[in-house]
Amino acid sequence: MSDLVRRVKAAKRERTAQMWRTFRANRAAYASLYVLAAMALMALIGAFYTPYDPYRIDLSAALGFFSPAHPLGTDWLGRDMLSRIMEGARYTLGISFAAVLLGAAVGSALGLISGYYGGLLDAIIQRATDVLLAFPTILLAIALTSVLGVGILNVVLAAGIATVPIYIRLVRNLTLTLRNEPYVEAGRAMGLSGPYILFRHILPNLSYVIVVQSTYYMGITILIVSALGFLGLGVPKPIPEWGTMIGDARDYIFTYPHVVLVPGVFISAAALAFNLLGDGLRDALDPRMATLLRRT
Amino acid sequence: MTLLDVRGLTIHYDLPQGTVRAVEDATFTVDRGEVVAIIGESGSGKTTLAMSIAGLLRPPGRVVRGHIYFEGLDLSRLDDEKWREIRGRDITVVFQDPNTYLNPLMNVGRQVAEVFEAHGMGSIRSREVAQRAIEILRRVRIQDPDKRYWSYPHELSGGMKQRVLIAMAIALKPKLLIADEPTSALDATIQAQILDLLEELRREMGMSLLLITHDLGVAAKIAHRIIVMYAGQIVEMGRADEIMSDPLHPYTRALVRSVKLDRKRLLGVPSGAPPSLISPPPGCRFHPRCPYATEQCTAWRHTLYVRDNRRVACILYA
Amino acid sequence: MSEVIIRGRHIVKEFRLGLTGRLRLRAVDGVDLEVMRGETVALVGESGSGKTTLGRILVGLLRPDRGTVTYREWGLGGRLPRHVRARLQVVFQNPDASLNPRMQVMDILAEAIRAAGDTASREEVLDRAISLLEMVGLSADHLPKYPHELSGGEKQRVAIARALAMRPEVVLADEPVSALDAIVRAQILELMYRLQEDWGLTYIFISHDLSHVWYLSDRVAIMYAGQIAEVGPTEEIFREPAHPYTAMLLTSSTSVLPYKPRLTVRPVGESPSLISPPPGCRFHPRCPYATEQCRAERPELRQIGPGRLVACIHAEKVLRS
Repeated sequence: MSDLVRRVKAAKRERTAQMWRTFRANRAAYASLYVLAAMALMALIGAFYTPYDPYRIDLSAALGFFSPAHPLGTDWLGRDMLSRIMEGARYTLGISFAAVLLGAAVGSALGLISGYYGGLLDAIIQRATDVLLAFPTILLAIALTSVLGVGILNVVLAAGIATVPIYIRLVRNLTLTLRNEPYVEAGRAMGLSGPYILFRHILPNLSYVIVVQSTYYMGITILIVSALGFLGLGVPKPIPEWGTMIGDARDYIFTYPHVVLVPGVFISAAALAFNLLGDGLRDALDPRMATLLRRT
Repeated sequence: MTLLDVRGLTIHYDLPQGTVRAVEDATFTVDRGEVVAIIGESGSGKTTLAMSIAGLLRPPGRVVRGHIYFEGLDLSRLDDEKWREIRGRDITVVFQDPNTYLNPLMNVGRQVAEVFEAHGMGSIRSREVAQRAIEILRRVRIQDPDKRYWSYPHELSGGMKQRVLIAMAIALKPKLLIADEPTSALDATIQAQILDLLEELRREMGMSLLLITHDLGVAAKIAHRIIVMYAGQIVEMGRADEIMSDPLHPYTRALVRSVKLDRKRLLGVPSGAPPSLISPPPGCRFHPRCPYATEQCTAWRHTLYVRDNRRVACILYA
Repeated sequence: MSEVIIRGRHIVKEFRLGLTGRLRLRAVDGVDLEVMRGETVALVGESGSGKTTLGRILVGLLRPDRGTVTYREWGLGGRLPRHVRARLQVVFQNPDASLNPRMQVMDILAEAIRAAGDTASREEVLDRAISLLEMVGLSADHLPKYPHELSGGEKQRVAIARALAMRPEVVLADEPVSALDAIVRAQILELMYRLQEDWGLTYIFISHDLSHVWYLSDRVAIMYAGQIAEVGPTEEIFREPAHPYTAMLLTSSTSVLPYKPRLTVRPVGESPSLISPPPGCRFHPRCPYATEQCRAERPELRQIGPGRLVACIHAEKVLRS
C-alpha cells in the first residue's frame, strides 16, 4: 500500500526530472540559464560592491579603452564602465522583472475572469483591450511615461501596463479553450465547483503558457525599458540603467564606440538569453511534447 | 495483367531515438482495373507504403531494400524529374483531408485546370483547358459544373471538396489512383456516395485503385483484394470476401471479429497494443498478443505462405 | 415494466453565431425522448444532426432554451443537488483531451472519489482507486502514470473509471470509441457491455457507427438535422426501417451488419444547413418518397407499433415496400 504511494510520488519526481532533462537537452536554453544567472549574480553583487564608485567622476581617466584597471573602459566622465554596468543591472533587470510580474499578474487575472465568466464583464474588458492593443507596446509605454512622468516606479508601471492587454488576450483565449476541454466538462458533471475547476484544472494548464510567455516578454520588456531610458523617458540620469547609459553616451558612438557598445551588448545578451530560455521552457514544460516525440 | 509489382520493399525512418522499421519486406501486386485495399491500424505502415509508391516518401524515411515495378519500370530507382512526370499523370493520390490539399484562395475550377497546365496541355487561361476542367467536374458528378468552376473551397461541403480532389486526381486518366483514407472524415451517406463514385470511375476509366484505410468495412465494400498489415509487415492477403468470411492469420481474425459485432456478447479480442517499431519483438511481431503463440514464433522469419487463394504470414500455415 | 428515468419534452437548443448573434443555428429542434432504467439508448446521426447537443441536455450538462428535462423527480434545468449530479456521468470521444494532462491517474481518480463524497481517508481513496482500475481492466500499476504515458484505449478506460467513481446511474458516452483503432474499439465496447451487466448502468450512447449501435443498444433514436426521425428497438429498426432516412443510413453504412435492411435507399445529397433548414420535413430534398405535403408540413413523431415512433407521413408505405 505505502509502496504504491511511494511509486506515485516517485513518478511525480520522475516527471520533474524528465522536464529538466528535456530542458538541458536544449543547449542554447541551458547556456542562457547560466548567462542570466551570471547577470542576476552581477546585479546582486553590484548592490553591495563595485570595483569603483559608479558615480565618481574622474576626468583624467575619461574615455579610456579596455585596460586591466578598467576592464570595460571608462565613459566620457571617467566613470568605470564595469562598475556602472554592475550598478545598472539591478535597475534594468529589476525593473523589467517587476514590470513583467505586474503585467502578467494583472493581465492574467483579468483574462481568466473574462474568459471563464464571460458576459458583460467580458465584453467591457475585451473592448478596452481592443483599444489598448491598437497601439504598439512601445508606443503605449512611451505614452504612459509621458503621462506618469519620469521615475523608476513609473517605468515599472508603464512597461507593465503596456503588456497587460497582451496577457489579457492570451489568457482569455486559452481559458475559453480550456473551459470546453472534456476533462473540465467531466469535472462539471462530477459536481465540482466553478472556482475549484478554475484553480485545479484550468490554471495549472494555463500557468505553463504564462511562464513561457513571461520569459519571452522579459526579453521584450528589457528592450522597452532600455528604449525608454535611451529616450530619456525612463530611469533618470545619472543612474546607469543600461538604456539610459546608451542614450547618455550617444554623442560618442562614432568616436569612442565602446561607451555605447558595452551596455548595448549587455542589453542584447539579456534579451536574447530570455528568448532562448523561453524556447527551452516551452519544450520542457509541455507534457504533450513527450507524446509527440514518441509518436514519430 | 499486373500493373504494380512491389517486391521486398523495406522502409525505415532514421530518427534520433532510433530506426523506425515502418515497412518490412512488403511484397504484393496490383492488377490493371483492380481495387486493392491495404488495411491496418495507426502505425501499421500502410500510409508509408502508399506514399513510397506515389513517390512522396520524404526524409527521414528511406527505401532500404526492395523494388516497386510500375509497368515494368522500377520506381524505387527513379530520379525526381522522371517522378514528376509519372506522378499526377500515371499515378495520382487522393488524401483524407481535402482542406489541406485545396488552395483556399483559388477557385476550384482553376485548381483542376492547373493539373492540365502542369502537364503541358495548355494554359490555365485558355478556354479549351477550362472546358476540359468543367468536363472533369461533371465527371465526378458535381452539379452545375460550369457554375461550380468559380466556387472557392470554403463555399463547398466536405463531400464536394473531396469530389474536386478526385477530379484533380483523375483529370489525366491515371493508371493507378492511390486513395489514402478518402472518406474517413465524411458522414456515412456522403462516404457511400464517394465510394460509389470511385467505383464508377474505376470501371469507366479502367484504372486500378489502391485504397489505404483503417476501416475494414470500407475495404470490404469496394475492394477485390485486401492486404492486412500489422506493425509494418503484411500478415495476410487475399480476396476481400474470403478474408471477411474466413480470416486465417490470428491478427486478421481479431480484426474481423472486432468489426463483425454480435449483439451484447463478450468478444474475446486480444488485449495489448501494437509494438514499438523502433524495437519490435523478435520473430512474428504479433506473437506477444497472439493466443496461439509458441516458442517457435519468436525465431520465425517473416514469410508469406500460400494457401489456396490466400497468402498468410503465420507459422500455423507453414 | 421498464421505468422511465429521464424524460425530455419539446427540447429546443439554439446557438448564436456571428458577432452580433443574429444568425441562429437550431441544433436541436423540438425533440421528445425518454430513457429507461438499465437500457442503452443510442443517438445516431451524422454531423450536425444534434445528437451530441441532445445527449448533453439529457444529462443536464447543457440547458435547453425551451422544453423540459427531468431525471427521476429532479428537473435538469438548473443547479442539481450534488448527489443527484453525481448520478449522471459522461465519457467523451477524444481520449487525449478527456484527462487533465497535468494529473496522474491517481489524482484523477482521487478527485472523483472525493467528489463522490463517500470516503476521505487516504487509505480508502487508494483502495477505491485500485478497485475502480480493476473494474475497467487496468491495475494499480497505472496509478503513477500521466495521461501521455497511456495508450488511447487506456485513457478511455481511465475516463470510464472516473465516471464510475461517482456511482452513476446514467452514463452519457459520446462517441467513446471512434478515435480508437478497431481492436481497441471492440475492447472498450466489450468493457461497456460488461459494466452494464454488472452494475445495471443506463447508457445514452452517441455513435455514428451502426455496428457499435447494433452491439450495445436496446433502442435507437435516429436523428436528422436537429430532429428525431425515428425511435424504436434496435433490431426492429435495423431490420425494417420506417423512415426513408434510416433506410438511406443503413444502405450507406460500411459497418458490417448481420443483415441488410429490407429497403435500400440510394444515398443522394447532403444534410441541410441548420441556419435555414428546408420547410416541412427536413429530409424531403433527399427523399425518394417526398410529396407536396412533405414540402409543406413538418411531420409529427407518431406511434406505428409498440415502442416505435416515426416522423414520416409515408412510414406505412416505406415499411410495405
